[in-house]
Amino acid sequence: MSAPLLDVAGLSVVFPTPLGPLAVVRDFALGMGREKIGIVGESGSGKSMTARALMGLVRPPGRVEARRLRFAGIDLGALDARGWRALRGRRMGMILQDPKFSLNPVMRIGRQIEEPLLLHGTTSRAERRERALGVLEAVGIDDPRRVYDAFPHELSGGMGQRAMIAIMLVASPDLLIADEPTSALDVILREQVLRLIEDLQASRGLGLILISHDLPMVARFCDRILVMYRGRVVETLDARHLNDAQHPYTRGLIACLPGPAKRGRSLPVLSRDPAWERA
Amino acid sequence: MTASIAARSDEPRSRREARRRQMRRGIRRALANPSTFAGGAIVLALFVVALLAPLLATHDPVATNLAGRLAAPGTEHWLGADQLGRDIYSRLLFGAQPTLLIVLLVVVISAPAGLAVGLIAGYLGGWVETTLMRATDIVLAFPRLILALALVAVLKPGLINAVIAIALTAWPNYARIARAETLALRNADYVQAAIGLGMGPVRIMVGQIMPALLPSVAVRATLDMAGIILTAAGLGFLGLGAQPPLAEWGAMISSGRDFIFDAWWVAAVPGFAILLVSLGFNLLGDGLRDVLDPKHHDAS
Amino acid sequence: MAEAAIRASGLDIHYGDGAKRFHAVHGADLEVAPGARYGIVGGSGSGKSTLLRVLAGLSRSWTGDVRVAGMALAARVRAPRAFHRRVQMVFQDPYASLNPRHTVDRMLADGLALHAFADIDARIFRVLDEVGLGGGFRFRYPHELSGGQRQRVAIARAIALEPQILLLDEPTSALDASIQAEVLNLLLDIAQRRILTLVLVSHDLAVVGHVCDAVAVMQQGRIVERLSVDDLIAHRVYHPYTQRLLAASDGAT
Repeated sequence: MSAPLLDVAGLSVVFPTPLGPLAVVRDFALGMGREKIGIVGESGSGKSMTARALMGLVRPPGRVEARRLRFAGIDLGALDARGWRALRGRRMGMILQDPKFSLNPVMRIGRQIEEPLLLHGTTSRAERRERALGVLEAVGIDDPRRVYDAFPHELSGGMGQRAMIAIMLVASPDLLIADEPTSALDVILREQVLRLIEDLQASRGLGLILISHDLPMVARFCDRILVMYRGRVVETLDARHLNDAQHPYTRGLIACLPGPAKRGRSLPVLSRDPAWERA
Repeated sequence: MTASIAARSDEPRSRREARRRQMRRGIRRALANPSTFAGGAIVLALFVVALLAPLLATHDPVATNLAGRLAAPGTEHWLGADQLGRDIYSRLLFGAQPTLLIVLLVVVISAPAGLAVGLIAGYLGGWVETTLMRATDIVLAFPRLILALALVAVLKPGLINAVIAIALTAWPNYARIARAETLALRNADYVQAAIGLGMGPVRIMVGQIMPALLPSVAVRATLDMAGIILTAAGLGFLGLGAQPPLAEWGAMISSGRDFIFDAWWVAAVPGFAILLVSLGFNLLGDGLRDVLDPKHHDAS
Repeated sequence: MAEAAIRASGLDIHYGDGAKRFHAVHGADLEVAPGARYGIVGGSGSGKSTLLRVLAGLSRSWTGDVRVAGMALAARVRAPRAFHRRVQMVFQDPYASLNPRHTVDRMLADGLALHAFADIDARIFRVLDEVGLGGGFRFRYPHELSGGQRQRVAIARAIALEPQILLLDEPTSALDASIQAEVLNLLLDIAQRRILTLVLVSHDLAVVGHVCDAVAVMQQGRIVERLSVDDLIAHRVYHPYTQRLLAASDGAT
């Protein structure tokens, strides 16, 4: 078991509303090493906001509070803007859902991949190009040179997603957060991209946090799963023991999945217990 | 049987009520924005002044008084007097009427016409689109003021003819906006769904697409109003718009030109009024989108 | 032998003209029996949604023989209004398939008025009730509805005309798992009560396996395999693409 890469306790994200402060994330805790963690929840569960809090991307009027928020020994709560800039893109990376919206449409892919290197290092132009081509190959792109010179709209969905992963990987981060990285892709591409992330995680020893609403997918790829409901983590479990889940919400999520085994029959509908929102 | 999802008890009970609520929310939002509020106040003031000019004026706008010509602003003439001794303040107030008339008439004529051209061109495509848009391009290629000048020269100087001339040059902008948005919207799922219900092109254009075009066209219209005032002022400046002794702001600037150095107020006062009203329409236009778009999140 | 609800043969669908012409579907043959639950699966670019739109009468750039609900479709001509009473479609994105400027009531009334139904008000109440939304939703705008509620409205709009065939283009892929379950339950319920023919397009084998009896697999514009869901569960699949789909899907078996 590796030393804690990420050590979080009592993390909350609070937004002011006309009706009083609203905690979008409440009391989130996680201790992880260089393993694969999955965070599962539906819309409104706070999973994306948690990711943003970990990356320091929660903007005012939102407020992040935590008892402990340490990444590789660094206290994230005490970082200023410059400190965050040194971390983001270099030691922590984030992949988002739709490459259409997260890639700069007027910049060539090669340049976007080199950007983190420009910001964080003093490598020469030739070196940067080498590394960019190298990482494009590592993400399974057959023709790195063509993609290097291409604009985002010239790439298919799967390639765009790989390009995004390449951008995040080029600076060799320690932690990679993937927020719904495959929701915009079809099943086969999804499989390929997830395998790629898995391989990269193993070969480079990254910590990975995979965020999704797709419970079966997360269970297949991650070591541990955190289930979130309305801002709280209601259950933490080993991915292999998904069927032993205790919490009624988790059990409800599993039960309401469609499948040929239940063909033509009514799926059990999740009835939400307000007690789940309280500790 | 699936359970019914309970609705709030204060749901709107009719189409009219639902639409009224939406409007009210939009207006509230628009008024909460300080610049929109300011713009609205200025435009409202313009309307009030135009309507109540006879009550608010201190003198007869066409009464000349050669003994008091080019009087400086003071207690007798609040904003001074022009070269014929007419009170500028009163002429300013009465001048709001033709200004407002021109602006409203031009917009009422050109905006719907341009919208219709763009909507039909965008939706039907093919040779219809090509023909209509090329016609639009041709009209757009002419400099607006010069085309208006040419038209007025042919028709004869006068207020109504100035309106026609400006309107004939103003519609292409709306056509372009309408066409561009129609092109984007006609592939929207909800338009496809309407086609899937069996709706014909006319119903779709009017019922599905046009409501989405109205905000952009309306905003453009308010932004254009400033330009229309200036074009009308330009025509008036050249003596081709409202004819003397009608107190139209452009004509006032024109006649005050000769006295700029000795009696600056003759030209400056109507000039400032045009500036203020243009600004008002611009600010209002910016905030108008809030009122017309139900998609914006409520403040509540 | 009852006539097929849907029969297509030699269906070729293309986009664009001249040099930019893109061939989306090649020579597709399809037959769906009345009352059947038929699925069409494939990855992106497989042409499955394009095929569905032709069946809904929403596409004009195709060639081939298509017969739906007993009516022959012609490519270059707009489908007659009566056609749309028999076939209706539910779209994928609940945030795009409802006109943001129309109330729920207007959306339902439009279709009913167009097809000259009587007692429109009563029908609106009934169909909203059927999809699990109370009458209070009648005058809401789409932005006041959640994703699941919007999809229910889209379903209500489709069934209000009392069609025989319901075409579903990835109806639940934009919804959370628990909402998906509710909407799938609703669809099955409606299909059973109204004896509808369903054609469901999806990339999710689990959903297709849950709802359908038979499936056509499409890859890059071609139907590569047709099989029953029983065969699918038992992994009695032949085409390599189907095998890849199966392997990549969670919960499909």
